[in-house]
Formats: sequence, structure tokens, C-alpha cells
Amino acid sequence: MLQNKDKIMLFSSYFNLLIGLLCFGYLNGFAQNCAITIQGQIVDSHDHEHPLEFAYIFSEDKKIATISDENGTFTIKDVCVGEIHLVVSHLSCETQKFSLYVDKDTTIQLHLEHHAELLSMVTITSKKDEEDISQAKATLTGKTLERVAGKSLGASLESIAGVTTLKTGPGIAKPVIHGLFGNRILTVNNGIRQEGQQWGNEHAPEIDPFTAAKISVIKGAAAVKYGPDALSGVVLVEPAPFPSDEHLHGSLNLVGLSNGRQGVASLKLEGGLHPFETLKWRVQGSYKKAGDAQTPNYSLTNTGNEEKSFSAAFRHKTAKMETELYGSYFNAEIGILRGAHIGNLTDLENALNREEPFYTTDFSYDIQNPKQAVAHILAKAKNTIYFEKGSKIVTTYGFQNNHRQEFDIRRGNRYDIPALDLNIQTHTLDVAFQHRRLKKMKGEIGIGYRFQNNRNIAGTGVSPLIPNFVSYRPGIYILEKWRLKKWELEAGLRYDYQWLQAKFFNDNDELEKPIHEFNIFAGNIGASFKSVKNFNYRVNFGTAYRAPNANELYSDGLHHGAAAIEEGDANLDIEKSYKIINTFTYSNEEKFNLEASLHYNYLDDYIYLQPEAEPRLTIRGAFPVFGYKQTVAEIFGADIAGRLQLKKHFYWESKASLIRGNNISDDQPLILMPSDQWKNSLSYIIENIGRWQDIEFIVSGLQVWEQKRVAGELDLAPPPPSYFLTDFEVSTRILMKAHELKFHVAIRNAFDIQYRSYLNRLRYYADDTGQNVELRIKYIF
Amino acid sequence: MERISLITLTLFSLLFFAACNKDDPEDPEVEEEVITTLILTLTPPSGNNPITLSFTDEDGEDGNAPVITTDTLAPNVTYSGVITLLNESVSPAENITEEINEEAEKHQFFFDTSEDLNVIFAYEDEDADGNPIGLETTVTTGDASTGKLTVLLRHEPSKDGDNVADGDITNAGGETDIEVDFPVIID
Repeated sequence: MLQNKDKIMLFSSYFNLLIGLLCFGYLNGFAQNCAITIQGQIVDSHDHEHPLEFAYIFSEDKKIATISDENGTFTIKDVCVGEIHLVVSHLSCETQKFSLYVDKDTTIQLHLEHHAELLSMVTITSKKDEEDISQAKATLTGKTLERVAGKSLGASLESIAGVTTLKTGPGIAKPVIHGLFGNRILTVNNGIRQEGQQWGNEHAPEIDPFTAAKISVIKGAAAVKYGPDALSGVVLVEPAPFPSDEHLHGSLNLVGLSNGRQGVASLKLEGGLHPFETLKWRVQGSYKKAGDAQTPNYSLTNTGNEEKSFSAAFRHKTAKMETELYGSYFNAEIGILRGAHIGNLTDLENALNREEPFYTTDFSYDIQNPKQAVAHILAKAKNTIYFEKGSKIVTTYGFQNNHRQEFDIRRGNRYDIPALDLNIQTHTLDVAFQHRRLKKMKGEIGIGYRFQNNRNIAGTGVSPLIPNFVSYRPGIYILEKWRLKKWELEAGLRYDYQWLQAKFFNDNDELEKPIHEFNIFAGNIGASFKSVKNFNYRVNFGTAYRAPNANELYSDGLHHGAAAIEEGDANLDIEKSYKIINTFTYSNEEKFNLEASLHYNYLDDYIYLQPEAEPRLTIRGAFPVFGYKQTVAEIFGADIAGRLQLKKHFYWESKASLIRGNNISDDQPLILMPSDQWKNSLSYIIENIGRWQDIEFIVSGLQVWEQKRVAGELDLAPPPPSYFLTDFEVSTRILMKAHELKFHVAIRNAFDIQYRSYLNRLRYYADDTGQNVELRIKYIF
Repeated sequence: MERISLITLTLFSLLFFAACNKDDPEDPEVEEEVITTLILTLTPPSGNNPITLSFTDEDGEDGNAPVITTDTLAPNVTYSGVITLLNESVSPAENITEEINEEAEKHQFFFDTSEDLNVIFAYEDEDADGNPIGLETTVTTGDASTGKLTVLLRHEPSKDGDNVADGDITNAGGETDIEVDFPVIID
């Protein structure tokens, strides 16, 4: 996409470089100028002030290292004219590489992302996060992200307070933020809203976590900025910034997991394109193979999965403009526990009474029916135009193609014919004008457009579960922030218009094409307050509307896995959510960190499944009938995360979350609300033994309490009892010149405890997974 | 230059929009694997006046109640029983019994009677492994009584399970494709 002007620019840069090289050669021919002194200081990238002592600075060119003093300063003498490459690392910081061209004595200041709180499992928001100043936000990055490498996206987020997962066996995990999931949270993958069949409880997000250097969860209504549907929160999957130099860099991840005999490998390569300084590229690929998972007593037959993914990114950047192209492909085949496929309620009852599910056999890598096969393609083009005083216009175009098939146990020769075959294509175009700080105000105004086309692919021999539909949704929003003395404020407003046309054949085989129109609003007010040193208070009040989705409007049929008939209602109204979240943070460097969030969410016209009084008789037996209805609901709770230094190098971390959800109109608890949880861990860090650095030993225990607040008639079986799981972990790294090798060994559910989780939909049929020994090696170059 | 890039980007995306296939679905998906009707025909030794018990649910999971027909059995008689399965949602009706026979090893019928009802079912057919199917049975009635007869069809049961080949469903497993109750009078 290089225009003629760009080409001229590139050519002239090349020409200049050539001249430069000649000059350099000329100089070189006379005398090597290696008398330059580099004076530097390493500071914390958050406040740009706090110096970092004991940072290790390695000069790749001179092959020498130096250490920063108590002022964060360091000196490197006898540097030659030319480009220098420095590798800077510090305990509890991500190792970073810096490169710059020097031709005389130079003083530099290098910023490292220093998170005292980011060791081990606690992830507390940094105070000066420009993006979301009033929201409660937790991030997995660096160590915390590396320790979950190889897991699915949903499973990776489990360590964040307030976030749980809705699982369908070991291979399928959907993130749950404060009790809400599916279409009530948004997953944003590299700036593009992930669009697939998110309405399905067994449909996990089709994203490879290895594409991310940072995965964040915003635990509040963030619909103004990210779009409708972000009622309860947003999961942000963000790749690393492109490298600053043009040399080949990358990383190789190898993960082995004993439970399911899983192997995962991921390779990333990135670099520049010499001599085009403005171009950078990255390619990345992952492969995962897992066999049947194991409970402490038996195999979970047919729970293997296989995943292949690939992504490529390309960026052209000048001072005035940046263009990024990104494409990714994700493909997964996921087995569903064979013993979970039931015919009717009698089968379910038999399954509930069995210790071991029917059809249990020995371990195998085979993935048979019932299974899911899903392929997701994402293509993104992003263009940023920078203006002189700091404003910019960002245009993002995204294309997604999601193809999801479900293969069932069928009669006749229909084994290879899917029972569900859905293809949904989405186009999005967003243009945002982010203006520079005007007096104390900084923000953005934007427009967005989404087009979707959902089709059932013919030939399944099964009536479609959801109809074909076409929808478009233009929107407009404004979001502004003000920075005052002790306060930062933000406010935003958004409006989207959604037009949806469903297309399906009714009982008389006539084609019906009803049209729905929705006016969707979102609003946001937030503040961040810092009065006392080390202390911060944030509050965010957000409202978000959600239009009912196709399954809520048009579902009609037997939901096999649930042994229930579900019926939609085409007259459902927009769901309106109002959420307030208060976050208190106290941070005293390494010694003590604490973050507590209190949230309350009021949901009007909340859509849920309500059972009818009478079951329906069919040739297969009697089934309960659930209809999609609307009610008034509320969800509220608290997330607390803290870290205390008990002695030097010895830490205690604790995380707890409590959630309560009520159907106010019917005066009963909401279904699938996570039960209370509390996780504690002790960690001990040894700075180094020889070449091994940052050696950390962790022992942790997770207590999950029984969910006692349930409305009996909504569920097939009562929630399982409380359980306690213990993990042991060790991690370390070796720094080798410009490369790094990291290791992580963990024993999860170390004592092979037998348990079932309320949020695992296979809990009716089988136990959850037993002990798992995890080995991770990461090589960074 | 910036404007050119922006226009290019917009054109690029408009191209995609135009290329979408927004056609209507062509035909309704024909439901295969539907069984709407189960007919149990009991023929007395004379061969005359067979008795029919039937369960018909034409609209499947939709609301209309199924139609159950039953009849009175004579006491102390040995009938030969035959099961017919149909898909009557299409015309002409499809005979599903053939599909069951084609996958005989993966199917078995079970007959459950309430305590008060004096009826015994015995299998008369076999699949390729020598295990019973249940499309053909011998039905022996006892003294006059009333009660409930449940006919079940299991898909992929464990025919080797304990007592399963004798008609005991306890260790059969598999998935239930049919479970119908008939009120029966022996008089």
C-alpha cells in the first residue's frame, strides 16, 4: 500500500543511508572513532522519575555489561560511532532492548516498565494507565502471561480476581467477568472486536493467546470506547509493539502438560527490512495437540483437541503516518466428552447417578464425534495519521470469517455430516479522531460501522438452530478526559443503530424475513483520585445496551447437551445495563500492595431462560421447555487482591472474589453465578545462583466454595461441593548475551484432588481434571 | 498523501462490503433422522385381528401433543410383536425401521412394564453379533391387569452389559432415541 510519495521518501532515505555509509567508511578509513561515552539513566516508565537501581545493562556491540547505581545511572565508555544495541533487564521488569545511533558523547534516559506488583500472580493496575483511567483493569503480561502459556484464552484469565471461566470440559473455556459472559462481554483481538457465535455457552473465543504480549481485562461497562455488548467488561488481547531495531528477533515457546499429554509449540519472528527503516514485520505460528484429559480416577474419553494458528503483521511507520496490516488464521478441532451426549431426561438422570461416565475408555489422542470444528480468519488494516501538535486520526478496517461446525452422534452414514454448520462474516470500519490536549481536556470522537452476514450452510439434515441473518450497525461516540490537580475525569457517550433481518423457513416451509431495529446507547462517567501518596481511588459508572441476539429471538428446538427445549421470543427488547465499579488501590513498592474493587450492576430487561410449568412430551420422552424471557436483575460483588512482603524476598499474595446475582422480579438467584473464591500463595525469590536469575518458588492454594444460592428448578442438578486445590511452581531464567531462556515448572492440583466445578457444564457427567505437571521453556532472541 | 491512503483504505473496505453474499436461503433444511411414529403390532397365534399400539408426534419438539392409541390385550395369550418406525412429517412417509436394521448393532429396544401389568417380552431377532434388536418380539400376557408399558430405543448401547441381552436396561447405557408410555389393559 505504498504510495508514490512514500516510494520517493523511501528511496531518498536509502540514498541518504548510502551517502552516510560512504561517509562512515571514509571516516573509518582514517581512524576508528571509538571514544564516545554514553551516560544513561534507567527510570520507571510509569512516573518517569523513579530511578531503577541494579538494572543490568548489556551492550551487544562491546559485549560488556554494567549495572545501574542507586540513582539509576550508568556509564559506557569507548563506544564506537554507529548504532549501539543495549539490552536492559531488571528484577521484576520485562527485559527490553534499545538501539540508537551515536556519533558523539550522548546522555540517554531509558524507561523500563517496572511493576512491583506484577511478580507472581497478582496483577494490579498501574496507576498511570492513560487509556482507562477510571476503570478497574487487570493485566497479564511478562511473567504472569508466560506462566499460563499454552492454555486457552479463557483458561489463561482465571488468575485475575473477578474473572472466572465457563467451561465445557477441559478443551472449551469462555471468560466470565463478574458473572457475565458470551455476548455480555467483549473480546477485542488486536484492536478488532472478535465476532463469531459468542452466544453459545460451548463456544470459546477463537484466539491464540501466543499472539499476545499483554492480555487485559477491563472489569466495568466499557461500551463507549469498545462498542455495544461490553456490558460487564472487555478482554483485550494485545500484541507487543514492533521491535525498535531491524535485526531479527523472536521467541520460541515450548509447553508440555502431563494431563492429556499435551504438547504446545509457538514460534514468533520479527524484524525490519534493511534498508527500509520504516518497515517492520512479524510472523507467528502455534500448534497444540492434546489427548483425553484425566480425572483422578478415569479418562475423560473424547476430550482431546488440536489447534493450529498462524499470524502475520506488517507495519510502515513515519513521523506523519503509520500503516499496519495484520492477518491471522485460527483452526481448532475440539472433542466433547462422549459420555455427555444424552438422549433425554432419563439418560441425564442415569448420568447423574453414575460415578464414571458411560463410554469411558483408555487414553487416546483420537477426536471422534461429538466434536466441534472451527476456523476463524481475521484481517486488519489500520492507518494512523499523526498531526503536528499531537492529534491523530486512526482508521481501522477489520474483516472476519468464522466457520463453526458441530459433529454429532448420528444414525445412518451421517458421521461426517455436521449437525450444525454456520458461517458468519463480519466487516468493521472505525474512524477515530484523537485530539491533543486542549487546556486540560484530551479525548476522541469516532464513528464505527459493522456489517454481518450469518448463514447456515445447507446439507446438515437438521433444522437450523439460529436463522440466517444480515445486520448492519453504524455508530458514533465521544470520549473525553480531563486532568486536574488531584483528579482525572472521563466522560463518554455513544449511539449505535442496529438493523437486523433474519431469514428462515417457518413451520409451513414459507420463507420469513422479519426485520428488527434497535437504538443502542452507551454512556460512561469516571474519575480517578490521588490524594495521599501511594493511594488511589477510581470510580466508573457506565451504561451499556445490548440488542438481543439471533438465538434469543429465534431459538426453536431441542438443545441436546442440556436435555431441554429452548424457544426464543422475537419480541424481546434491548437489554439495558448500568454498572458502577469503585476501586481502591494502595501501593507501597515491594512492601505492600492492595487493590479492592466493589461493583454493582443493574440490568433492566435482562434476558434469561425461564422453564415452563409443564414439560413437553415427544417421542424421545418428556423435556422441560425453557423460554427466553426478560426480567430485572442485579449482580454485585467485590474483588480483592493484595501482596505483602513478609521478609526480604518472601511474599504472600492473596486474591478473593465474591459475587451475588439476583433475578429481582422473580425474587430468586441468577443461574451460573460464580461461587466465592479465595486464593493464597507464598513465594520466595532468589535473585541469582550462578547464571540462573530470578529463581522463584511458589506454593498456592485455591479455595472454591459451594454455590449455595441457586434456584432449583432452573438447573439439572444441584451445584457441587466446595473444594481446595494446591499448586507448586518454580520459575527461573538465564540471560545469555542478547538472548534469554526462561523456564517454568508447575504442578497444578498437586494432590490430584477429585472435584467438580459449578461453572463446568460437564459437571453433570464427570469429575474435573486431576493433577497436571506443566513444563514451559521460552527462548527469546 | 494521507488523504490518498485514507481513500484507498475506504475503497478497499467498500470492496469487501460489495462482495458479500446476501442471498436468501434457497430451501428449507430437510430434517433427516426424524422419527414421528412408533407402531407396535401384536398378532395373536391365529393371525387374525392384530392389536395396534401407536405413538405419533408429527410436529416433534413443537407444542402439539402427541397422539397415543392403545387397545385391550387378551389374557394368557402369546402374541408376536413387530415394531414399525416411521417419519410421517414427509409424504410419502419414510420407513425408519430399515435404517435401524441397517445399523442393528447400534440399536436395541427395551420393554418396561409397571408392576401390576402381567406382560413379558422376549426378543426374537438378532444383529450380526448375535445380540437382540427388539423389532421382533414374543409378547406373553398373564392374567387380567392394567398398567403402563414403556417402549425404549437405545442408540449405541452396551449390548454386552450384564443382563442387557435379556432385556434389562440397567447396564445398557447409550442414548435414548425413543421413550414412549402406553396405558395397557389386559382383559
